Amino acid sequence: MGTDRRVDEVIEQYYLGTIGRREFVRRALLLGVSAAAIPGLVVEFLSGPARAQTKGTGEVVVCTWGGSYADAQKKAFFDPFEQETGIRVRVTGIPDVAKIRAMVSTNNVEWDFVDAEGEMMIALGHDGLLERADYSIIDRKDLIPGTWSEWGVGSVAYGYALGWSTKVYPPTGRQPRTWADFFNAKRFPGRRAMYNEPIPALEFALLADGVPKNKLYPLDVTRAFNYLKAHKAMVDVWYKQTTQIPTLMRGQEVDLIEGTSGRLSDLKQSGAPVDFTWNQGAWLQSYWIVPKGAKNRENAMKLMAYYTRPQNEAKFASLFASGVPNAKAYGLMPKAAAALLPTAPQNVVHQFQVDSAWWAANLAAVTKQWLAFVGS
Amino acid sequence: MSVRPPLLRGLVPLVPLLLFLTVFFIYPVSRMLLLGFSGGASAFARYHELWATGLYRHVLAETFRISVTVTVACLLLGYPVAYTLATAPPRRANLLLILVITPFWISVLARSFTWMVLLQRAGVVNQLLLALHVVRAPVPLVYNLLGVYIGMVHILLPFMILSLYAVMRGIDPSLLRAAGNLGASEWQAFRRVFFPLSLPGVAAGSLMLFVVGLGFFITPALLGGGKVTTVAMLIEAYIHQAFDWGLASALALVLLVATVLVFVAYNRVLNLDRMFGIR
Amino acid sequence: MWRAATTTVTTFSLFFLVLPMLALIPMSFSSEHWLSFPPSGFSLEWYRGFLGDRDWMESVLTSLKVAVVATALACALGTPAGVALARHRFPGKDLLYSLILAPIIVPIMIIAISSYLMFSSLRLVGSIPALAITHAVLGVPYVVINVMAAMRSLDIQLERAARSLGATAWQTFWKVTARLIQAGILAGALFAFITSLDEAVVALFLSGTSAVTLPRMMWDAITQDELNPTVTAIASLQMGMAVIVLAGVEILRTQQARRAGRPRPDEAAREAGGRFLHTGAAGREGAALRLADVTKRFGAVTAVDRVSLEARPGEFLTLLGPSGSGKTTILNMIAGFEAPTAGEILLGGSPVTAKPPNQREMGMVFQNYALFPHMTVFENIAFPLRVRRASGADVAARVEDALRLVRLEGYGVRSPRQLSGGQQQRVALARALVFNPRLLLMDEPLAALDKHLRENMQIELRRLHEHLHITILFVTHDQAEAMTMSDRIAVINHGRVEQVGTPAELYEAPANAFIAGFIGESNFLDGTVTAVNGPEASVESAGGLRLIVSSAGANVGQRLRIAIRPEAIHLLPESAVNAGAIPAEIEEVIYLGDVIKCAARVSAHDTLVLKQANRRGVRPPEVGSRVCVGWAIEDVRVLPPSAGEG
Repeated sequence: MGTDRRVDEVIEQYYLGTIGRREFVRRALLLGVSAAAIPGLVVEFLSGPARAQTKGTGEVVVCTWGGSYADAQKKAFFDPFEQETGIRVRVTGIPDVAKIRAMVSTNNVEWDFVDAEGEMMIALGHDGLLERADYSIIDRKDLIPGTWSEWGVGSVAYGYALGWSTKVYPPTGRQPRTWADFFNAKRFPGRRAMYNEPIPALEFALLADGVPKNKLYPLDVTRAFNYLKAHKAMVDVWYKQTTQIPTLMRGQEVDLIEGTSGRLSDLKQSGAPVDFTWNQGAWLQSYWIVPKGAKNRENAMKLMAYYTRPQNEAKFASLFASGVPNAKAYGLMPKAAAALLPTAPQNVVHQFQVDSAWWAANLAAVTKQWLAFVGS
Repeated sequence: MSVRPPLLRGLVPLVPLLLFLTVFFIYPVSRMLLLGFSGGASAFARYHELWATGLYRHVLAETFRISVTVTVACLLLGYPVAYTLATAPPRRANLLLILVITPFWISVLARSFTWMVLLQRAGVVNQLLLALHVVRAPVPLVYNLLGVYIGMVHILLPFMILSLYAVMRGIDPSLLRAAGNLGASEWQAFRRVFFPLSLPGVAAGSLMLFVVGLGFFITPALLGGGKVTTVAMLIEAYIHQAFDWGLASALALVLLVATVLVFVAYNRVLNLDRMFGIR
Repeated sequence: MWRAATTTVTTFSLFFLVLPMLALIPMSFSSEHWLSFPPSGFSLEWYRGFLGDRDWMESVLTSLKVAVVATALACALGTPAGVALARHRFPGKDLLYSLILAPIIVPIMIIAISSYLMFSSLRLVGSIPALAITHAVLGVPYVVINVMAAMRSLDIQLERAARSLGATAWQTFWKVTARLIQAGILAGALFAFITSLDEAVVALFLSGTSAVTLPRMMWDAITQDELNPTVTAIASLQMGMAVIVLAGVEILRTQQARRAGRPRPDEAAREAGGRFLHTGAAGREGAALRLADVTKRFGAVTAVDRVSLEARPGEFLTLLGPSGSGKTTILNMIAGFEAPTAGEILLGGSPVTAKPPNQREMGMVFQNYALFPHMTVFENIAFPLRVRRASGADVAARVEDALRLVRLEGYGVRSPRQLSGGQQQRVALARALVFNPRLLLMDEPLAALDKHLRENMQIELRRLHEHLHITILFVTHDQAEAMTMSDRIAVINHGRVEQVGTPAELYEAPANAFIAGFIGESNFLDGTVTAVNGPEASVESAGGLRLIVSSAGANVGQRLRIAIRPEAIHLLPESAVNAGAIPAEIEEVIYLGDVIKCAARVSAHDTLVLKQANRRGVRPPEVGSRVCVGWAIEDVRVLPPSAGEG
């Protein structure tokens, strides 16, 4: 109660896990907070300046990507949201464009709030299958450019990077730094794995072929495929799920990998002999979208508004290393944690953002070529 | 005097099943397959695309090739097991049967991932091969065609064994004894008496395996490392990645027609009726 | 070496099958957060994480619910269909069979999406019914295949027996067929159940916020989270469950087998002698049976050709003929298992041709007895009463009566497997009589018994017949049997009635050569008439013998066949040639105990077989001795050649 800055600081430290609960209670009591008020402190803190209008009834069905990712979302956003507003959050998986199309066309929309990749959002929005984000209740002033759109605010930013086995390429010797290195069999003999998706393989191929980072878009698809075809024999594994990355690296199946920075940094943190570089990495933004005709549209918008809060975002990032849209959130995180995120200022400078708009327009055609490329 | 044809009355029990399949299978699948014909002229363009582009022919051929190989492998591995089951004393046979049936109950996903772990470069199989000096470097056993074969054979082998066993069980053991009494060695008795009698099981099992193998997509996706593409995988990719339902449906129709043709031809040549005791 | 090869491959294959299972279990206890083998550390956290998690447990429950409903549906629809397909032949059957198997052929992705589209428009996505229905579609082919395979080993006689005893088609299916093929049904159900439990692709589409199945949750976890040992923990639990279930089934089966016991051989000896038909209460009067121009054609083949017959009320009429003569077909038409192409069948004056077998009130005893193997003796005999909805007390009393009738009191609790052939025969008889039919049909019922038993049984059946006054139609190929038991015999050959008459009439006055040869033994001689002198005619045989026969209607130059019974030929001393006897040389002598049979060569072409009673004091002839043979003219039958004589 009250806006005592020191109390706020203590609450923030507790919430972000810098101090434990006992310490939190001790300091709060020292600052004069009554024992009875302590349990409610966190909720109060999170609600921030008056958000009375976010109270509501009913439920909202969230479709997200499951596993520890969804767990982190629950802890950082959905549970506090439910506590504050009384709106029940039901979590399900997995976002699927085909399903959304089918749902909207049969007017039987099961999902209110979907965590969608950029080109998914653009394609669906273009086809009139989404509700517009209600920025009258959503506060976007602190959001990093590129992390919100007319259809919704950003959920997470994730990246793709070049990873390698430190057993095969120890720090004492040569280590790959660029995509040209990745495809250089002479300097870096070994087995390679790539993600079985055109995004961002085409970009990486063009970078390896010498195209500068700022001249990537619009992609020269032919050039990219030519390069890939020429180097296809080098790739031993085309993996379908990013969850396979740890298995591939720990099992020493491959020595070089094009993987998600989240998984690669996870691996590195947990002590596996893996390292990666942000250099020439790609980052993409996912967005929250609301399908047209969603049964709980209002509640979805309220949840979207809730999603821009920096404290919750910081908490989320501490649980699951990914970029978050609110610039303020980065200041709230411990420095070490921020360094692991693709959109942290020191990292994002080495990378490029994947152009979702270009992909939205070209994904279908490129996918067919990609399938032909992999399948032949 | 008129005798009400007993045939018509005898076919009444088929009606509920036919109704059920019509409503819940034929109708939705046809509707979906017709998507392959939607859009008038573009329908023909689709089929032309299917034919002209090497990719589809290649993938279709590969799918058939994989199915045949897996079927043959299952036959070679499964026949001796079925033979042992059929000729073993009942107690041991039942024990062996439990070994054969238990894998059924385990999720296909779990089995595929276990193979991934076992067959990877640093996995036990490679370690064993290295320790026995059979190879000098780890062999790529997974994320390729070999991995797909291993995974699919593992899943389909119990089906083959049970099909063969079902027929072998019905072979009268006194026939083999008679052969022995007439001077045949064990091998001759097998080759001239047992094996010919077991052929209906071989035919039925092979057909079923081949047909089921054509539709596989989880195992090749997980164990193929992206280097193996089956028709079902392609159809899935067209739906989930390329969002071209028309093309996916057209491809599905091609696969279905090819499979039915194989089935009918097989039936004509080998007369499955008798195998299933229809006559 | 062959044996070694088989064992090696078998061991390898089994090891290959079992290897992942062996690896799964230790992997599930790993303390690492990734999949590895061999695992390091020991932790139960994956099991705890699975069993203690509300969402995982709910998904298990959902999967079970869906699987149970889907399997029940698949069995209910697939079993009758499989039975019908196995029994009947009809145009378009191939196509129908392919259609039923189609769900296995069509790629699962297609089924999943098409079902999704359909259920989505019905707003049923994410519901257990939608999942169950689609899984049932996938499971039905397995049920049909296994049912059809089981039907293959099912004896069709059992179904016919049930029908003849009065069961409707539905009762036959439920009480007999389904029970006997239940192993097949169970196998199909097992396949369908497992398919549903493990099914991930359809679940990907049809599993919504509600109704999340276990495979769906696993798929989500695998593709979105990390690949941790949870999946191996789940698999280990599945494996444990499977082993428990299978071991349980195995234990039950051994218990059941032990309880069934073994048949007792000492009783077979006891019944070889002695009477075993108790002549108790008589049933109602038998009805008359009439066949009017009954014909049966199978395509171009005429199996039964305009047969007209009559069995008088209470008569014992035998259909006698060689294999393939059509007698069994005639019997099947009378019983109602085959429909005549033309003609009428009347019982007691009223036509029964249009009636189904269970309404004809005829009892039938089959050649292989056709006792229901899954029922006790009591239940077998009670069957026709139960399908007629007789009351419990009534049933018990009448079954006891029937058992007493065939002297098998106390055998009610046994199963047919425990009885000897003769006992099974009697049970079949009791079963066919217990509901007081007006006509008893018997299809070569004694063929499987040994000679001694058979002869005893023949006499007893005869006595039973006398006592019960029931009309019996008996089919056999054994002429001695026919002669023993019948009031009249109808000889059938090539689908036609050759002659009907009492045993004496047929023996003494066979209408043609076939009958003469089929009933009793005959010596045949072909010859040409050389002269006719009043009541006698001279015939010269092909072998040069001169014979005298009665001349009725014979012309000079006519070819005919004559038959002489062996017992009508007398052995005479060589000197009798002066009296007109025919000289002969004894080629063979067979000592049969009660008679002595000799083969006597009378010419280069002909050998006659003769029989004489073995009387004390009469020495049998010696091989090689020269004798004469002679007979009375009255004992010579002149026969028109019959078509296709045997």
